[in-house]
Amino acid sequence: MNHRFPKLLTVLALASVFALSACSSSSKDGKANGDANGQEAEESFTLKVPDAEIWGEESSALQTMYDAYEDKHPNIKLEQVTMKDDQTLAAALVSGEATDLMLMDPSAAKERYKSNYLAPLDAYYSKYGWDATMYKWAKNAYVEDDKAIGIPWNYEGLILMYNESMFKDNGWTIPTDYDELMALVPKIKAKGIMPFAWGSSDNPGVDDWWVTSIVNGVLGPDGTKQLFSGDTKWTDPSIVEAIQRYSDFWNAGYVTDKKSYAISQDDSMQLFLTGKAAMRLDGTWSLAADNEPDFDIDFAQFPSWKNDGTPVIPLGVGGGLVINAQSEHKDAVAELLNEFFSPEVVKTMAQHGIPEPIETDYGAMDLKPNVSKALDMINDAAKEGKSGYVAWSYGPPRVVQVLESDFPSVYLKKTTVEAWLADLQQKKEQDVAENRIFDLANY
Amino acid sequence: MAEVKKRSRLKNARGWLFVLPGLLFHIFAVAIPAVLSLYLPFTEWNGLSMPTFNGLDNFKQLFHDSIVGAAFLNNIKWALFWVTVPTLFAFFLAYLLNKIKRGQTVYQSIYFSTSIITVTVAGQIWLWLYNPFSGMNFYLDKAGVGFIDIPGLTIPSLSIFFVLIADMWKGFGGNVVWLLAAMTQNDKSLEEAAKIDGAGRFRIIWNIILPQLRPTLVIVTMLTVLNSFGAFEMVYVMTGGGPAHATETLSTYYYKLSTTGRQAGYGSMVALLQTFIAVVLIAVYGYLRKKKGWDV
Repeated sequence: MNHRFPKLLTVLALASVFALSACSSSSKDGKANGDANGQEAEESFTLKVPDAEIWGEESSALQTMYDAYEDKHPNIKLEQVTMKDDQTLAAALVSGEATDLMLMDPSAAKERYKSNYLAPLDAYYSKYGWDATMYKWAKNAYVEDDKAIGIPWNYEGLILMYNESMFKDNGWTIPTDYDELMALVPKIKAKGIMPFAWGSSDNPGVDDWWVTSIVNGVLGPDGTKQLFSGDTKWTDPSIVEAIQRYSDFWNAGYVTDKKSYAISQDDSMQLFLTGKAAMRLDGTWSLAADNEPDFDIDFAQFPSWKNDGTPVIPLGVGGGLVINAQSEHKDAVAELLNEFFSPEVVKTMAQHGIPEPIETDYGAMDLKPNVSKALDMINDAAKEGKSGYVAWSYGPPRVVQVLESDFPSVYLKKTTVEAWLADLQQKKEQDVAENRIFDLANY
Repeated sequence: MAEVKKRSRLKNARGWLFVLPGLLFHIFAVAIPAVLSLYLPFTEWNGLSMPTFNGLDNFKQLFHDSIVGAAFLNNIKWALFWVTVPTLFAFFLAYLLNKIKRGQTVYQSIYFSTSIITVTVAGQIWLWLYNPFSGMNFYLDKAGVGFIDIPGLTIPSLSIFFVLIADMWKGFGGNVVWLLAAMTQNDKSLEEAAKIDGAGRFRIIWNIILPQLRPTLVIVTMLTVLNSFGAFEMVYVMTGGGPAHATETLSTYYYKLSTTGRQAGYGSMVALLQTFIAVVLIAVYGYLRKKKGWDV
């Protein structure tokens, strides 16, 4: 008889008991603690949340939100987890290791909601009244199958940043349409200055900003809506002509001397900040950056790509906060999300040039002059019906994927404009067939 | 007798217990994904939801996809470059190092030092150097030799070669170490005998050194070619396969398809093509080894 076997069993059983008890005292125990007054305190557990430093200064509002929540809920610990990119987040979701609260762009959120990875938030919207002051178009970026699936993080627009001192010294005026732009850029080039600084080597996706600005300027807000979600085709002659114009513009050396794909966005910003370039296409999110060149910087609406058109500011949401469907503490995450609308967080977001898409009095906040001006410009454009739609928020997913990866094929003449746009149209039709487009009623 | 058998079985069981953790890891982390990877290429899958079988659709798409052709061609360029320029360079340096008596380890360390730099850092260093406005060209211009214009990544058709130069800078040291190690094992008496018989330096290299190095050269070349068809890191860090797929390789393409492209099913088909190429290369190597006696 082997006497060691029962001993081994005893040791294993004891080890199991210890292991289980260790687990139960960790993050997901849900035990209740009594407080000093003898009242029943809330459960003690840990919520996994996105790293507040994921986007540097731009995401610092998350820390404000976390601090406010932890002050009110001392028993709930927030564990910040770094998901370095969307691929990492996708892998974490599939393996069940994603955070309880997540940052996600609208198209990815919709895909993941359809695959049951995200929780619907309608009940929380009703409970907390999040949409009382939220812009409807922004909320709709996170609506799928009539269900709210996320909270839009911010709104942002594409603008023209320019070297104000250089423009003043040379007596140049800001172009508002294609004709004015084409009259100005040869003058800038003749001075040995690049008209536009642009770089996409580190992120080809930014080329999407040009296409977004071009189609908004040519079609206007309603036409852009129709292009993204309605009957207007990507092969429409006005789009063909506009994209061809950009290809000619790029090949004339007006954009980083035909070397835009060989340098990064940061490098192109350096070209602008050192006075080697006169203008940049940029986003409102960069206006809070503390750049201190030895000249004045100003910004304006990006010129229309139509001969005598009027500028349109394409707007969209930069991302959103969503709740993991597998989270065991959805109610607690929703309460954390509610802090997103606290005055401190709203102020922090606005100070970084990424305002929350809610109606609020920004005039009462201490904002940088550039940020205030941008907000005023966006508000004025919206009132006049001159605010459009960015492709990364509203475009068909397959189309956006091509815009963000393959636009150089056009200006490097690896394909024809017609063939490239025909491919986009085909991809749009695939998305329409699979019901993956942004609903026209939700704009 | 029964006691001996029992002990033997117990010993076997103990052996299995030791093997079990590694075996389970291998089954779940390697074997099952490997088998699944034979199924995924025949599915439509976005990487999130359940894959749905779509027969040979992805296979047909593979032959109509011009990017696959361009990526395959870039992999061939990558392989041809690596088996020629860096290998010859490594051989030349190893030959010189083998001749010196003092400081060999120092030189070896210097040549190998670039291999320990991470790809991300190495790629960033070369991006700075290639920057057309602030890199090498800027300083050449300052030095008064602005007529020397290094295209770097500014000419799409040449971009792949400039990425290759960066990759060579990072990786050639490994080949130097391999070849130097092999050279030190060479029979020196053969070289001495050839010298006495009046053979020149080139003839000694060609007829004495190279034949002795053949097994190492074969394995170095084989690994280089296999690595070339898996080329990913340096391309991804420096260009991401762009501009307009000018530096795309099969690996960068299927990575993009599977992640941002949300076409993991089709991406798996491109990966399967890459595996097929590797299998063919290994079969060719096996044939040469068996039939031609190119043993290692």
